[in-house]
Amino acid sequence: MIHLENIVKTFPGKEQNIHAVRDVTLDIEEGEIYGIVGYSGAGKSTLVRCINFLETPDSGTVAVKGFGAYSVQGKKILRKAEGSDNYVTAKTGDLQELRRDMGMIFQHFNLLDRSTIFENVAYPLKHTGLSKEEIKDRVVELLELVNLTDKINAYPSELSGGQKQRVAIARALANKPLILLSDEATSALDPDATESILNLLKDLNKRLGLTIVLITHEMAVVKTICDKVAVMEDGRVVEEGKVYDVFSNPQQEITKKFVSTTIGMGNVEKLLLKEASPIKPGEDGVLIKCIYDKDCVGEAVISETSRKYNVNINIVLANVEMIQDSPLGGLVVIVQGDDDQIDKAIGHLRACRVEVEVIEDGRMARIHHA
Amino acid sequence: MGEWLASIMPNVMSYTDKFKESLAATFQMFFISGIFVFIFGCFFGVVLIITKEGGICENKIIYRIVNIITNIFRSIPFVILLIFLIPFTRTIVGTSIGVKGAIVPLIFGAVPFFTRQVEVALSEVDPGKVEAAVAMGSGKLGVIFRVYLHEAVPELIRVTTVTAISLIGLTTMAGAVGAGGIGSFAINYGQNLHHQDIVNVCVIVLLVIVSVIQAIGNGLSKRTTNHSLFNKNHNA
Repeated sequence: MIHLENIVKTFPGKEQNIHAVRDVTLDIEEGEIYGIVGYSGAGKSTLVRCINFLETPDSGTVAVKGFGAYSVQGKKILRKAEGSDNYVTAKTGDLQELRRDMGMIFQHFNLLDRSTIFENVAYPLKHTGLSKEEIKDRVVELLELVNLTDKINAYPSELSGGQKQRVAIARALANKPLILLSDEATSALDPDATESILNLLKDLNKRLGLTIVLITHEMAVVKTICDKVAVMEDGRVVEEGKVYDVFSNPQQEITKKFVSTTIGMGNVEKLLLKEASPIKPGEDGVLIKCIYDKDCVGEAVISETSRKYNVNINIVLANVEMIQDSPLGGLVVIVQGDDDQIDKAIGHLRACRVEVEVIEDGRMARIHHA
Repeated sequence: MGEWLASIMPNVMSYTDKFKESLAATFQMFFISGIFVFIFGCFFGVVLIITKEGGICENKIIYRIVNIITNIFRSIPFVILLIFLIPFTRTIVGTSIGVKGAIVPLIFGAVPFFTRQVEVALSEVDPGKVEAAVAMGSGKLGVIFRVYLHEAVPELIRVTTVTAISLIGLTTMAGAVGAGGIGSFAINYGQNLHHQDIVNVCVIVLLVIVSVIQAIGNGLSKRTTNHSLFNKNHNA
């Protein structure tokens, strides 16, 4: 649906240039909710603005299904029409057309304060050849879609944040786009409103087959609605994949950090690592963290291990997260027993595809003391 | 009534025709130059905002030229500007005196002031709204008229009011160098002939004009502002 290739964008800075996006290549499939997550300044907003050319990349190619490919070479924007092989200089009208068929919503809604909800939603419908009656019908239809028909004559200032974002979504969908770009759309909303907006997006994705590119700094948002996620750091995509895979097996440090913000296990680790923590493995025990995915949630791995290797497994914390409707489990346990049996037990857990991380090894302390 | 008026301002009553003529000249100068000031000021204000760094038609050269010219004309005191422009006014309208001769310097005096005011009013429009409009496929004219000018209407009315009031002030100054109007009436018939009542009446008339402009401006500005904008209690 959207193919980004070697996108580079640098902003001139006073002392040094700011490399907002450094050579990013991404593929976004049709009908997918694609999350781009990263800290502020990671370049995610700039990247998504390169898709509809709100920012013109310094170089790279943006291909959008139905619109051909746009390539930036030197200072020129070239366009290759769908089915054609040759790049020609793009006209301003081309880009406007591309933008018209790609909805975008923002963190601060960006509604026109002096226009009613009706006028706001009707904004992109002007000059599209629709008659006044048709525009009216379409606006009502759109407001029904976001469940706000009763506010049609209100002004944005009379609406709550969540309602404003609904209006913005209706406005973004006015021209029946196939793609919706969402730039931190829930970041200014309270938890309730966030949830309802995310549900709405998910619903639109399912009902209209809308492809959604969603930028956020909150991993919880990704967990709730995204199919795929890309993690950005310092202008690069450092990790990409299906949300469940990224959550169950994060590779990069930053991804681990992000994942730990939304998984219950994340904060526990900090607690356990404190010097004064009451949870200590003891001199014959090992404190470990286990993450197990949907394939072994149903198995009695722990009690099996305990019996087989004659070790005591003391569960300190257990947690199951639902990600993309699949469970992802986490455990913090103290394994106590004979030294070599402990190692074997951990080996067995690993053999059962449980990801094991040793947090504190009590046996080490004993060796040091001796 | 007439007798009573004649007793408190005898000189005004004996120059009523001259007084009415001056009043008409003031309004003429005000409206004719006002229309030009409004058009040019809005135009240059928009030019400044769109050619500014990060604007929708970023263009450093145009921005600098308009910016510098605006600054230069703003820093010349109006009385000096009046004399300075005499040769130019003559070539354009054929005369440098009377209402006709006053209009050119009035435009030059007020346009830079109004341009700045418009620029400020437009710069208060949230750039996010502009971005959203561009993202919806609006062209440059669409952004200028449907976002910038549309969203800034109450603010534009406010700055127009301020400019209109200062333009009244400028017309009286132009009177001092032979443009006619209330200003020259106050000087020629009041000050020079030692008729204090004429000066007093001129002051009162100007006060009334300014108050009326201010009241109209306030009313329009309030009506065009979305009322509940001030009621932020139920906003998230």
